[in-house]
Amino acid sequence: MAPTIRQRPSSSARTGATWRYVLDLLPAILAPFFGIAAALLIIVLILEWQGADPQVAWDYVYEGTLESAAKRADLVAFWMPLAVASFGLVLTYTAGLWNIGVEGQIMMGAIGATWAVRLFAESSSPPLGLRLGRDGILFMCFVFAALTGALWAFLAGVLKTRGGVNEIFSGVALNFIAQTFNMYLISNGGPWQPPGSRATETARFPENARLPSFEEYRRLSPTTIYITIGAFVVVALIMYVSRWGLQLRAQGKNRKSAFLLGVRTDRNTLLAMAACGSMAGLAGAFRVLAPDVTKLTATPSGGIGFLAILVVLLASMSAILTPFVSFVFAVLSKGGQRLESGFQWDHDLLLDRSLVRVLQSTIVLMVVLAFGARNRFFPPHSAQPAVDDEDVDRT
Amino acid sequence: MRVELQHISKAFGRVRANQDISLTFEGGRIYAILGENGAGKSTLMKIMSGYQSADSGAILVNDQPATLSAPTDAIEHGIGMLYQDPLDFPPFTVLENFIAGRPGGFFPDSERARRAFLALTERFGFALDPDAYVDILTIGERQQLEIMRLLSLNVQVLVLDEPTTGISAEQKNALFSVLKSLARDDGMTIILVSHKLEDVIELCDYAFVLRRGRLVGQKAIPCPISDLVALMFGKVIERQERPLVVCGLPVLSVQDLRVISQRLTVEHLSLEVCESEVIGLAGLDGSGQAEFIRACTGLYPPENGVIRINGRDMTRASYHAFKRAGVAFLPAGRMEEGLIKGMTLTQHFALTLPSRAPWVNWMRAWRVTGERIQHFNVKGRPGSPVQTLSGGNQQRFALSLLPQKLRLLLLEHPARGLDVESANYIWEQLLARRANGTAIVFISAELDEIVAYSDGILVFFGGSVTLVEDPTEMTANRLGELIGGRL
Repeated sequence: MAPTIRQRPSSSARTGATWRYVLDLLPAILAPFFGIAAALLIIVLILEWQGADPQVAWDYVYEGTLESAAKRADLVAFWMPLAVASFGLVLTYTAGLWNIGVEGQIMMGAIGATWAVRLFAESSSPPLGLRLGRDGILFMCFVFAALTGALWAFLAGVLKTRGGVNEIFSGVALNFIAQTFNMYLISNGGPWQPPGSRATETARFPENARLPSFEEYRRLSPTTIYITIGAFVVVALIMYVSRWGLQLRAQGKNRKSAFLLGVRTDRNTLLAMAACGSMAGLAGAFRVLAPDVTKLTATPSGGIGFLAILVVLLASMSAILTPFVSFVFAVLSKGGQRLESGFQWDHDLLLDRSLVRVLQSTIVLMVVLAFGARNRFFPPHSAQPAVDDEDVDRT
Repeated sequence: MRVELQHISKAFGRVRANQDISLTFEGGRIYAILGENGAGKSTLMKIMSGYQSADSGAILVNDQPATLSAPTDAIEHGIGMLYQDPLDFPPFTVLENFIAGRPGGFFPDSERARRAFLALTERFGFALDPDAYVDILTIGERQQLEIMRLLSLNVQVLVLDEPTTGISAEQKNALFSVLKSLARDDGMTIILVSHKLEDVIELCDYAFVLRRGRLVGQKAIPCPISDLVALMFGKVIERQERPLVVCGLPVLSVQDLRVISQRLTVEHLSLEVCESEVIGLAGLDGSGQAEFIRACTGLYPPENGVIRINGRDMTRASYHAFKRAGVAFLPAGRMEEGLIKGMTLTQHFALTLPSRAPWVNWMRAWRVTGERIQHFNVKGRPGSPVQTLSGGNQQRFALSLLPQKLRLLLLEHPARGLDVESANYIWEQLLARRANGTAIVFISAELDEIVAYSDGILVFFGGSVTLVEDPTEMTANRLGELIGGRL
């Protein structure tokens, strides 16, 4: 139902306006494609220049990720924690919060999950005398992971709202603290390092603290898939249906105006950080509980937090796009690992393995650059011809 | 030195700050550039001192066209400007600031600079310690430092933007005698940008008056102060007749408030506003009105004093608590504080409509948006992004977003940047709210607007306030004198 407006512009003017609107949108839609195309071109040029066959390089990426069902299962196992962390970041980035601390939040989630394993599966006297079965233990793992991750993010939120510390700076600091805390726990005779061990990791978790896995694909757990889908549904509901999502959008676009319009920006900041932190925590739990890991290692996150930040930026904070973009990044990352070994051993490629990072970064850089170029050369019309122009100051 | 401005025009978006201004400054004289807030004085002087470039027009220095694309260009041409806020580096000493900006090698010659500095302080009788740190100086002393710095750069034309705001009486006297000496003895051109009539009459030989970006008149001084006031404020809108307020319970009651503005501390601020009363806050920008109005809505914690809404003490309550008590605030910067660029009209309503449900009722938001924008005559569609509306429509839309039932409405410059018709429309809406019992407190730089719509006027000047209880006797000219400090 279109409400009546006093001066209805002529229909031709309206078609013109609609057409202009579509033309305005085009660069925004095409930008990432141009970016990826440009990145591929540059990658091909780099490989050619290094004397490597781009086709062979792509074969490695393909073989490492998509070729066989087993590889695809591994890919999904890598994709799930990345996706769930990205969903959380959709909330904070929508609210204009640069949650750089997500890496630390993932790490704290991993620590929280391990803590739950120690309390409920390894301890002879679990708290409150709770003797849980495998499902109960895993449930506690996810709860602990979500809470510790949320707490870590909440800290950054409190520092921002109460202390006026930018979340980027506190995020960097909290990442560092989380990393150090993790190392304290598992190295040099730390409390969680098994006695007599010199490896910087905990012992493998007992049988009843391991995620169930598919019969054919031992490294992939259906639980992580269910939880990730659940997280996606929650974030999509928040973003597209709830008032809270609208408030986050409003304060992300203009915090001051949103506050004046009645949005409780500080409370939302804390909540968005905590919600993101809990999802990051779940990602951490996925990483340590994964059937092929089942221990807390020195790098429980494996850098997926930073990867998730890129995912969300490239998806322009769209909850719908995030699963796809995170999948692309999962392919790039997993394929990159395969390519690295290719660079080492294949005589057709024989390149420095660090070149993989260069290639991955090129893609990110070019897509970001394409967005920048779009804003520079096709600025979104900030003032598309208004319906009337009568209010121009005539004095 | 003779500086001539020819047909200078400058626009910022829709606002035409300067329109076709031509004027000439001769050496050895002291000029005033007069005008109310937003008349375009500062813009014109920034163009002359190379800080901004004009859209069109030319600047002649000693009959030679000059291109001034940066302040250093202007200084090379002998034009220096003393800005309203001193441009110094507080963590450094007086001497280091004095050296900053001087041409010279990589290593400044501080001994020679010190001698030059001491010679200047001696000549003008300034008591400035070259080794003191700037952050302990008063505004007046920082001005003195800046003037000496400009003089040491061989400036022949000195522009001073509102130099007497925030300095003591003695510092003002010292400043004026220095300026007179520079004009008389050194043949310099002094240009004083001000809206303080007293200062202009005391110091200047000649005044140019700007209004709404145009040069509207010039006068040799001495002349009657009323002539300058008439030029500054132009025609006067007649006060509208309307029923007098019968004061009921006070909606807003402020007692002995103290707020700190940029340079001034405003003390002993007391005010009672009752239902259906409109109070206009008059004063130069930065006289404390903005802080006062923000204190009354929980956005600015006052230093001291008590604020009551509907008789309840809310002195340090949050903005949201004020909002719940029926107080609404509409700031001056619509797109910066109030509306959200990139969101549609419907999204704005979805955000602000009171609702207990956790989800958005988009149908209701869409319907209400349609109704309200029709009622408030907003020319736009519910799906239009708010930044695509024109200024007047944005203002009407911001008004339409306010809750229907309000106890107190606080506004900053409700009609700024709007043409007469749009401004009238806004006031129609505001007066309709007044008729329903809403009390209104507004800040405006347009004296006509204050005189025309207020039931009481609070004048802010120099750290104190004066309440004009019966504005029927008030004229814009008299008000102009009041805010210029002439009681």
